[in-house]
Amino acid sequence: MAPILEVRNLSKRFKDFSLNKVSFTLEKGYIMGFIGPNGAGKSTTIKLIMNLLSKDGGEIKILGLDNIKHEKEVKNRIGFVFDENYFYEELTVAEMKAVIAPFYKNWSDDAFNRYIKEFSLPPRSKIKELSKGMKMKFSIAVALSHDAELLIMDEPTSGLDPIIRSELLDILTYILQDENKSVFFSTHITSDIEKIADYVTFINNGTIVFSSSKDEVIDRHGLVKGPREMLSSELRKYFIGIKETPYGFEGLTENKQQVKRLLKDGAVIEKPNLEDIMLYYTKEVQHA
Amino acid sequence: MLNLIVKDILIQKKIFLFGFIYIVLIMISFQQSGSTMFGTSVVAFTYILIQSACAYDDKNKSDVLLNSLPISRVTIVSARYVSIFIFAAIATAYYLIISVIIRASGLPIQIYVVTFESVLGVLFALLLISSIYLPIFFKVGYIKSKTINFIVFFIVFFGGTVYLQDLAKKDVPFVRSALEFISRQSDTTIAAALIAVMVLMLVVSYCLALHNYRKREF
Repeated sequence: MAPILEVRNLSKRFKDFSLNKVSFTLEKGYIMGFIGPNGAGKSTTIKLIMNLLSKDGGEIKILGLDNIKHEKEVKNRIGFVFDENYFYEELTVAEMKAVIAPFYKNWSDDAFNRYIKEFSLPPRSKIKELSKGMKMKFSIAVALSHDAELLIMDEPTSGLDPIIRSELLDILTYILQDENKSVFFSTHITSDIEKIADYVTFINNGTIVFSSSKDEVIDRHGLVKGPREMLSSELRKYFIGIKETPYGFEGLTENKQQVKRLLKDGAVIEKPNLEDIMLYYTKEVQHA
Repeated sequence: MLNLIVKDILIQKKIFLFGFIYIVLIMISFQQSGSTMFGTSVVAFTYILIQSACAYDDKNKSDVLLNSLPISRVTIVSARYVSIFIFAAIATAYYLIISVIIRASGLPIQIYVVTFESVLGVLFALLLISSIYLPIFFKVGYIKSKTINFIVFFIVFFGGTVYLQDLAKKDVPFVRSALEFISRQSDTTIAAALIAVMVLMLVVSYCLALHNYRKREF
């Protein structure tokens, strides 16, 4: 069966930024977290997937179909949640639904009414009167009401308070109980990904650093802590990034065996979290 | 497509309410002006509706929303063009309803009837403005197109009027013979020619707008 989302060698050039041959694959029934610092190319990739930007090269397939050749069919089967509100602020929840619904082949009013009740969305309130969390829930209700098979979310949790964020993550976990649904979710808040994602794709400076299962990414890396005098030039070669203080060092390695051999018992190797991994892969820490 | 026009009407609810007052005010200010009363009312109100629909779309960054829905860019552009006619029909209905109310109430306000010529004139004016404006709007959005629109509006109406007055004074042989040629034609021929020009303007403008919108990135 074709993957739900397949991006191959996707390229896009701007004056001051380019996306370089981005590739990753998301299989049906999973959540993929798309992480990276601000300005790494997450939103650009999502806009290219949604055909809001035109690509310079590469291929995007959603549900096995080219995202441009079969644009209407593809958009009928996906849902989107963006970081900002793009709904008409002057309209009420019910009016906005009435405008959007007829565009979808599989729209179900019953499902929509059920979700807005479940999410406590007031149908007569204007969109501008809703909080950011409510607007997110409205986007999700729209996506679920047309039975979207893939949910594409661009920074859905940024700017939300921890309670709403956690509620949103619970909703996503609930969506994933249906094994026909998949979620592609960009964020710079790595703890969200840690909680719910099955796969992680990390982008930095427009280039994919890695794209694999979350557990595999965490297991493969080691966070090494030790005294500074043990940091020989040979040891340094095995680090992705090192942070040094007058007393010691902390570094991320992908080569735990070699580091263990060189350090013997002189250092501790811990399991990193995704935030550590993201930090060490970005340039700022490498040159610290 | 109809749904996009319904959306334009829903987001402009207040303007539709205000339209009644607006048209009444124009009717009062255009007493003794003949059929200009109808033309000005409908062109002005329709123009406001077209502009404000574009402004609301831009303010809400709705291009991102609309292009994420299963709607083709052709539909988005077509809806904007079809809405010119729908807005003009609504404005005409307003004019007619207000005329009936004024007549029935016996208020001392002069009303002028709607003629075929005035409808044709209204359509020509609206299509001329929109045919210039919409391709620019679909290329750069409302905010940037506002400045360009103002310049075009100024040149077409102010500059155009001054130039035509000047031309009339100078008695240029070509203009004289052209006017004589037109006056020799029957009303039907003139109307048919005007409709042909309008269709041509509309087609060229639509193709340009579609070309611009297809290349647009959000």
